[in-house]
Amino acid sequence: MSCASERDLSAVATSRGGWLRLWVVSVLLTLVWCGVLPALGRRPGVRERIEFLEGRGINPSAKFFTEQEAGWRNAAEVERRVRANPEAFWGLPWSGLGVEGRGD
Amino acid sequence: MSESRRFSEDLLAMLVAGTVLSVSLLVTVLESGGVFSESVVSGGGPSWRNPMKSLVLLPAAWEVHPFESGWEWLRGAAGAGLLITVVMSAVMWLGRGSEVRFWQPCVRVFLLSLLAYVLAEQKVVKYYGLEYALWALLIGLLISNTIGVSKVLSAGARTELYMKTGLVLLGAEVLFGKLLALGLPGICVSWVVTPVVLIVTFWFGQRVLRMESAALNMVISADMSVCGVSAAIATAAACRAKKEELTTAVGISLAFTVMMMVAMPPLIQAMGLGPVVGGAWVGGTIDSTGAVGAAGAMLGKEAEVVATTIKMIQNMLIGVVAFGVAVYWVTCVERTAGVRPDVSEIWRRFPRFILGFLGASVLVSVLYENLSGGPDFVKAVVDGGTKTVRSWCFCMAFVSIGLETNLRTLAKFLRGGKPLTLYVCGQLLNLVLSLLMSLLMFEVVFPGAADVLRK
Repeated sequence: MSCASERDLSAVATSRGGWLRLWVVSVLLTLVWCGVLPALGRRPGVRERIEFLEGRGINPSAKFFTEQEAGWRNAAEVERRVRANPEAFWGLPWSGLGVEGRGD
Repeated sequence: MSESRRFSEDLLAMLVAGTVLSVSLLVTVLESGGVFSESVVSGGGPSWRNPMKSLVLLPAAWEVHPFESGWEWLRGAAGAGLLITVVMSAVMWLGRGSEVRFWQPCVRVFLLSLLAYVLAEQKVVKYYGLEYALWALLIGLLISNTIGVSKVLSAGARTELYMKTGLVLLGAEVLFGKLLALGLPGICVSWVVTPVVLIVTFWFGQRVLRMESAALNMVISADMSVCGVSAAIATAAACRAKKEELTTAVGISLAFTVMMMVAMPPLIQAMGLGPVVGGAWVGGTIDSTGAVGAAGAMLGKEAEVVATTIKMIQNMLIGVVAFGVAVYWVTCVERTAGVRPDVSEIWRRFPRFILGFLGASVLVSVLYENLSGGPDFVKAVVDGGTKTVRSWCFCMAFVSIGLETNLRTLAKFLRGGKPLTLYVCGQLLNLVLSLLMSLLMFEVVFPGAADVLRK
């Protein structure tokens, strides 16, 4: 990918204002992550949902199926069912084919 | 060392990823007693273990403070940082002799990624699917737009290197056999609707919305139709999108993912759709893989199984889409007007990392299908090592994008609202086509499949 930012960011002045802004935002982030979010997580509805998803092995922020246990587990479960019932998943109703051997 | 050595970013990425994948494969074989272990000889199949699993880690999920489950994850994160820094620095030294001190900026970027990952692992944040890409971008943006980026840190902001390394490692998670996991219904919902939506949305953006940037159009179309951030990363690298374009696409995708994750389950219940059709609809439309699992679970176990399987099949599309986009870009978008590029020109411009991605995918798919205990072996290799390093690389890539991005430049890409309009129109088409295909497949053509899945 090409860099579209025209100005050289390394040249941004390390001014007192910049440090102040960084400090303020850092304090706010700390307050939110260590205060607000834990409080939100203690609310019964949210806590139940988090525990429910954890129990199911689901990671709601996963980017790929390999990042959650449920991804591997559910795929294996479906593959097992497809192997056991190949005609249900491979046989077109109008063809009359059982599509033998698909599930082997 | 010679200054003349100048490996391309693609080659560097393939070397780093190849080293990590080889190490993960090798230590898994060695740790498990190899293919000649007693259990294999006796026909029982080996019990594959990857020692990297305890040495290379991501931050643990936390509720009140990051160390509530212990300090082990920090040691593992340090191990990951050490591995990435050593391999990347060695490859940089090998490929670009002048950059002998890459380890210093690399460590700094890794530390920022660690912070982003810790923020993303807070349970409430995680629950809403606000993944590390968002926090990595924001941390990078915060630094570059407040105190600025020092020269050392700037030298570590190697977006392309981290991203392409992560993508080649992601190839090891793309298992071709999984394409057939749900039989013909799965193929139709994932492999017919998805390319149709991708192509129509791209066409709509070019011809109707007349978007200025074809790359931005393609990245939004891909992340919306395939599988969110990971597809956006792969497509952006394939069509050489600007960093700001990837940032825009990821931001829109994450926002809509959260909304759809919350809104779709009650909508499906209100519409009276069954768990199989509902699950297939969720799997085919919500961008992010994790959000699909969460939304599917809200509809019940059957819906969760169908939704995650449909999304997994879509995950397998990433390689095909990245390859197709790269070929299309080289042959149609970047060509000189009126001149048809010959094979050597296409090869010269083709992003080679995609070959690394496909190579890793083919290797791991063959092992998965043919090795004794193949699925367990691949799971050990991926879960224990490559997946973790890949996640760190993507996180470092997003930190780097933030460090190199100016907020004012970013605002320019959202002006006029065309990216948002494109996403909304494309997603509406996706919703309609996915629903119709799910109904057709599981209610009309393969009702038996739905019965089997409901059992």
